[in-house]
Amino acid sequence: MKASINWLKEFVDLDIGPADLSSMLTMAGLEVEEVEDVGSEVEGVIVARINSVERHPNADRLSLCEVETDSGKYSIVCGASNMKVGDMVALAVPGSILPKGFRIEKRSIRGIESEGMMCSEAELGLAETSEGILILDDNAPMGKDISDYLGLGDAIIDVSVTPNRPDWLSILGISREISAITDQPLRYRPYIHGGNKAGDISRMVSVKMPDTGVCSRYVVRIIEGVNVKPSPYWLQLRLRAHGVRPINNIVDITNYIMLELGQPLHSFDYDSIKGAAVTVRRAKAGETIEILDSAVIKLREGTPVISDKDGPIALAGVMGGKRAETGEHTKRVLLECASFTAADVRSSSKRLGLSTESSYRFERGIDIEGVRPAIDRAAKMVTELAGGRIVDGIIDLYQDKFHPPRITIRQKRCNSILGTRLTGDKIKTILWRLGLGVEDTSEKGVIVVTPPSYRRDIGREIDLIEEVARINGYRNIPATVPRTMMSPGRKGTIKIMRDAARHILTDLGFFEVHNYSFVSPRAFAASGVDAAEAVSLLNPLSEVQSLLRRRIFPSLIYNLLYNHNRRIEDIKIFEIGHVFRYEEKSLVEEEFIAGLISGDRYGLSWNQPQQKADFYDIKGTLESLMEGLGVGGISFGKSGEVPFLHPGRAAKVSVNGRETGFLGEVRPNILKDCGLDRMNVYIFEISMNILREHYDTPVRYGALPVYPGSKRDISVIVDDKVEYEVIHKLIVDTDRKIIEDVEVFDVYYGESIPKGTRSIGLRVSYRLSDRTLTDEEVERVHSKIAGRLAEKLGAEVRGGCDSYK
Amino acid sequence: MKGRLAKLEEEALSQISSVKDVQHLSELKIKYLGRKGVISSLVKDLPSLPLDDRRRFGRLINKIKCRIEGRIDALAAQFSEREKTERLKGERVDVTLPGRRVPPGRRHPVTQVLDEVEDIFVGFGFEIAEGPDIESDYYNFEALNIPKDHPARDMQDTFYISENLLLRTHTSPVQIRVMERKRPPVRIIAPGAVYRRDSDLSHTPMFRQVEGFMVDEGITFGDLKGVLITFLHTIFDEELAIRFRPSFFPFTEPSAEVDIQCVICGGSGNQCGVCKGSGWIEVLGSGMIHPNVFSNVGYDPEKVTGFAFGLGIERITMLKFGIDNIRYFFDNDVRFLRQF
Repeated sequence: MKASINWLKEFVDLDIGPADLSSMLTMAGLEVEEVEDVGSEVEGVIVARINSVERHPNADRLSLCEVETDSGKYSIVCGASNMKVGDMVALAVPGSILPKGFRIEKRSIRGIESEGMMCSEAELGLAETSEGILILDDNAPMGKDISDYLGLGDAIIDVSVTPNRPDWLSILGISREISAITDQPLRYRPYIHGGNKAGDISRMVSVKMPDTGVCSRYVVRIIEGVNVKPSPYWLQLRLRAHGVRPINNIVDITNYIMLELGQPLHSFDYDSIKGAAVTVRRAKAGETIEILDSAVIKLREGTPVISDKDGPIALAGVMGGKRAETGEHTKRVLLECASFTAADVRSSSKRLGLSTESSYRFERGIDIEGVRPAIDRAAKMVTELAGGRIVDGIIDLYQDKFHPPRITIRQKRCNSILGTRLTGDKIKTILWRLGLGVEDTSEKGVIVVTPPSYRRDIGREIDLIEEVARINGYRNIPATVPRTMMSPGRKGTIKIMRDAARHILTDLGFFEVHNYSFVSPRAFAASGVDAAEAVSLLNPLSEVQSLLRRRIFPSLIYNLLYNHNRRIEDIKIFEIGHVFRYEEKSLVEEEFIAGLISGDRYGLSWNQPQQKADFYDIKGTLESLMEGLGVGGISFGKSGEVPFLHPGRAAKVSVNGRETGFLGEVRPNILKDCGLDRMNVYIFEISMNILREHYDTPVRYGALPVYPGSKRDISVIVDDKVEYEVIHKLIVDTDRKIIEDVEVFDVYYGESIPKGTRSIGLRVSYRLSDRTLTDEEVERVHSKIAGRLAEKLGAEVRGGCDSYK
Repeated sequence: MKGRLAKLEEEALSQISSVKDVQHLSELKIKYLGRKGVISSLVKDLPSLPLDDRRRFGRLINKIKCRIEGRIDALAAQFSEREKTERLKGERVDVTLPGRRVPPGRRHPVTQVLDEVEDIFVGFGFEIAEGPDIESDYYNFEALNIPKDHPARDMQDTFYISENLLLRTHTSPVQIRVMERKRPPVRIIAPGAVYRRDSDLSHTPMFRQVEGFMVDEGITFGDLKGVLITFLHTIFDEELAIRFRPSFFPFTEPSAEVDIQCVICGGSGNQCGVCKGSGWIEVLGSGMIHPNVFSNVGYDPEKVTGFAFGLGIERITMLKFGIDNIRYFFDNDVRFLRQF
């Protein structure tokens, strides 16, 4: 909402500048977002009349004009061509100062002296650009200072009005607020034009409201004999300064009253209304209306409209129709001023995508008691600016009469919510200044308040407490420390675990990323689930953000691509985030952690080999993560057919037998789709919820070994398809009592062993907790291991007896 | 004899002190201390002396021998030490070459600031609670005193999943969820992702928010100010100017927006694009919890009072690090992430 300070000053005295006013209103809850000066730097420009226009003797495109004002006649050279003899203009005489300090002097133009300048709107700072000079109204007073005449030296404040305060959507409303804050009287008397309900108007038009709940008050006046033409310049200027486009004097007056009093009005061309009757009702199925900007709208059944015999002529509270609009042909004007139901206006405006100054105000609620003064003031203004006569009588259908609520405010309650020590008198004064009715009660410190019709937001005690806090000033509420029970703050397990995971992964060289929860259908498809099963948005911003992600890793691949396109190729990233899916039609939201490695394991380095990261990097990352989190019981099983993972390089991850996620190499076809051809990309993704169940297992100390152990190496050449886990289990099962640990130190494929086999080097640790093992005992078990490997796996065992202590 | 011996010692010690290398030193050692050396020959001559002199000179010779020996050994040790050092010096590495390392990654800057915010409030005795990203209309709006068709819904443009399910537009629903199952006193912060159907230079359709609230008997607007001022001073700067100005949120009353003095221009507003010349930046929304909200969760608004607040973490992160584009947070350019 824009508000001219000069306009505000018509309602309330204001002796502070725009900056102070802005800060004062902002601190009272009416945030001023911008202050814009209007022609404030103009000095010495006066109203003048053109007596003659001749061509400049030395230049075809220039004119030489004689311009008269009360102080004399001036000879002016002018480049514009839109003026004629008799026009009233803004004359900058020598010595005048225009915006940006531009000073006007006599000067010679093509050999002829020009004694000043006739100004355009742009030159006066009233418009960005303008064509030709400014032509004022014919009755502009000659010799008057243009700043005074046009109300320059003004500033426009642009305020952000919160939805609870529709009364601030008017000059009057903002003036009321200023009056309350500064304790200056408000200069406003609602204007009521005479006229009884049974006047001539009832013979000209009848109004019906057959449907309930559409409109709580509908008021009509008719003005006959009007002359529709452009508004006087000052009115156009004021409307434009408030962001409203001037149309003609009648329409401009309705807009002017709306800005001033907050009450939208509509003007119909009386003679275009068929059947001398208007009906305020809900639209029937199939009805249409052509609106002012020439679009034909098909109305949904139930949309509130104003209609005549032939159908809708206006969308109630939103916009008028083309058929009965006020134009140059109009001789008789029917003014409508109403209070339409907020929710109805809101839903038609939303549905039709038409948000207007009018609908915006109705949605938030207008002052039902302000309807009559608004129409009367508008009618009077029409007679002043367009001539004509107000037809005797008024139609005023007031169905839902305003009865002010009576609200109690307790001084004690007020102070206990705010943490203040305000006296009862102070509270009363504040509320009274806001224009609320205030009465004492028999009980001390209890006040009964009756808010006026324009403060429908005040309905209960807390609303009054807010008003007290606001006007008294938030800065006057002392900051305190809460008096409450001491208790320790708690982060909670999931947060602690998430933090730990972040620290482990960053220590391993991973960067944390943040991605949107919504993805494109293509990225979703990479998850291996049909997009039809996705949790989708009804109203996405765009298709690429239309589905909620089922898995995190497609976002990580996108991040990889983003970095790759910037030639950052060795990537380790992770993300913790929510994923979404339907399970048997119900929505499941679960937290996952996912990581991705691509490119070289160590990056470019002079002292580490340049090696591509592989499966065991991602597996090692996950193992380190689990170990760091203290989650035991992790196992890796065959992945089966995971559509997005390499069938030979992937595993399902389980914790204590429960499937938790997966890891592996991303399938080449998925990478190819993203333009990441031939890249090595490894991912893991596991459920945080399941990890959490195993996270805070209590730690029990185990005694350190007392007796020395011994270690023996063994090397087996075995069929490539025999998995390490099998070998490991076979060894450990040989003698669980003395085998403490088995470690792999070498895996070899190559020329020196048969094709289809691999050689695995293992180190077995032996130890007893109650005494030192003898060499013979160790040797016996170690040989047994060799025998079992050979026997059960057909392995060729080498170095079975090498010992290492 | 005595004079000869003294001269001998003096000569020996002076020769030793001018020695430059190990080779020369061992030559001198042989010359004086060797089996056929000067000292030995003196000792050999002793028997030819009278008994008295024999003992006297014997002792004297021995003393001289010890002193020469001592000096030679000390010098030898010195040479040996020097030689070792020389050898180690030959084994030098170029200490200016980069080390062998796993370069550490970084937590996302927004996570880092979120952690800081959480730590401050946990220090105040708050507990962390979380809720789902997908919420029902009831928790996101109705229970928070935002009925259907209320213009306040325009303040937050919403992504819908179905007529009744939506992506939460704030973490305030956690207020309702917590109060439904917990009696006062409660002190909670609720961090999490929130979504608004809005995308431009300074808005992303998803961002992170921390909602906080505190309910007990006798909690006041003054307490709201006290807690939030302490918080803002901790996370930004002790000297920072802070102002509370009236605003409107359907679920709090009185409501306040909290502005801090612009951290980019220092509050002068001079040519500052961040505060748009006002010198102030809005960082928090807050207020006293509305009685309707208490009624919705079965608290008695006559008995307990409380305050609630919400802040956008991306915004705080931008201000803390001077980041001028919110999109960087979601681009995840490693060169950006590495800086924090």
